[in-house]
Amino acid sequence: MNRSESRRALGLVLISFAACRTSLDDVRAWAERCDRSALLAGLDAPKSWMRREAALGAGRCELAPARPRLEALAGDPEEPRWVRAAAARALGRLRAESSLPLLVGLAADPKLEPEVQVAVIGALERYGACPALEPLAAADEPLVAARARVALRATCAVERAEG
Amino acid sequence: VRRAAAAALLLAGCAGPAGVLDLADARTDDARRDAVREAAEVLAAPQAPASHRVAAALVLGRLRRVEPEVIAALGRGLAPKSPGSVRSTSAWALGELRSPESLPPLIQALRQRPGLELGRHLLQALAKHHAVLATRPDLVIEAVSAMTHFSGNLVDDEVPPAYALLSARTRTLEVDIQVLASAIDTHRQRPTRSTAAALYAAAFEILARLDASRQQLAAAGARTRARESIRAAAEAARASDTETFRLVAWFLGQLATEPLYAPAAAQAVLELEDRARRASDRLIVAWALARAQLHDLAARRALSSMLFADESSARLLRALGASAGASAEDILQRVVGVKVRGP
Repeated sequence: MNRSESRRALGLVLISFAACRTSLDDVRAWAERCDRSALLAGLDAPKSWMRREAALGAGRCELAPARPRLEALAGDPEEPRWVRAAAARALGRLRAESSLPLLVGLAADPKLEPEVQVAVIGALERYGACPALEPLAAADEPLVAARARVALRATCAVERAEG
Repeated sequence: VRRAAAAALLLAGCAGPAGVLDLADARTDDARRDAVREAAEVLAAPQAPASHRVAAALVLGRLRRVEPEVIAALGRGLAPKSPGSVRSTSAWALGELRSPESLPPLIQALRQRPGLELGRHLLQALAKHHAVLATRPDLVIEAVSAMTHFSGNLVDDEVPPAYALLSARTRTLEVDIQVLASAIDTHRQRPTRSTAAALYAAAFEILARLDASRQQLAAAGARTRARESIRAAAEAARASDTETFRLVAWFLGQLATEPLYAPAAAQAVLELEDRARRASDRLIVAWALARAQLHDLAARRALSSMLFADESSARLLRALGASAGASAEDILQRVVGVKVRGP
């Protein structure tokens, strides 16, 4: 190893140690404590795993101020699918009426990744949005179709019983 | 140098699982290739903490690069010696790859009696390969054989929902016939309780399908397919244990009232008659023949000449008499329509 390579290696070690400062456990602890400011900041973190964990935490804590950022994450095709899925799931837990058009639009997007589709179905199930769920029951992806059928059976059966 | 330093840090655990998860954020193609190699090294290292290996499997699933070292690392993650969380996440990651290369490790793991929880992950991962399976009939047979092996060896557990989902997408009578033939071969080569259970499950699947699709098959005039399926089931009864024999004989009796199935079912039952050594087996065979005689003369002749005419099991005759409060002869007459001689 020459001097230049040694310097690069040392640099990498230092960068990696710096990354240790916020651990997975830290972010999960924010969610457990429902640490509002930490979770909101986490939604803007540069690391995708942190945005994902923060989104899941915001959903679990039903953190209403996180809604605009969650909508942006769920609707952004540049975001990794694991972040979009977590944001969609969180929006389902918030159940804000203003998020429904976005979720319905995502459900109708044929190019959406199956992982995100499944999360959107879970969110729409919480809204009881039967008409948006129905087309997904015929999706080509077996796990998406199956999840939609489960949601339809659960949600739409409840609606019938109430009606 | 870069990769070695990063891998050393990750393996040493100083960066934590979050340090491994960072790899999924690689942006350029080169960076992704390096990230995948690093994650594969962490996952394949049995001495690495389980949380790091789980994170590495997540990265491999998220980055979806189908490369030999990725498949090999995920295969090692799936190995029975790995912790449960590593195995489940590796199954998920292989599912995310959705490629012909990622199917064999899943199929192999399904054959290794994975238990309900891991089995659920494996079946879901297989379901994600539906597009691959649609174009690869050879892999369909292997996948369905492994599914059948898994379901046959589940103890006191219901098969996960993904099983029915996959069955609906992959199974046809032709597939079931080949899967059953494969189960018979495997059992004949190395008979174990596990292969016997898989054979039972394969026989059940094909017979239940025949039973459930009477109308469709009759409407399609699918006599040849029905005959081949029944022959395959009868072969399974000859190759395996008492439970499979009884299952097949009972189903043949069920199917024998359907004109489409009756000749083949009656023939199959007649061929099984010499295997019915126990009185209870003979009773099932007699019942099946009695149902088949409505549509098949050979079954009627067989009833009077082969079965029960020489019945000498006092236990069977006593049981029959006790069950209906009548004499054994009366019951047998009613069941099979022949005159019998008592012991």
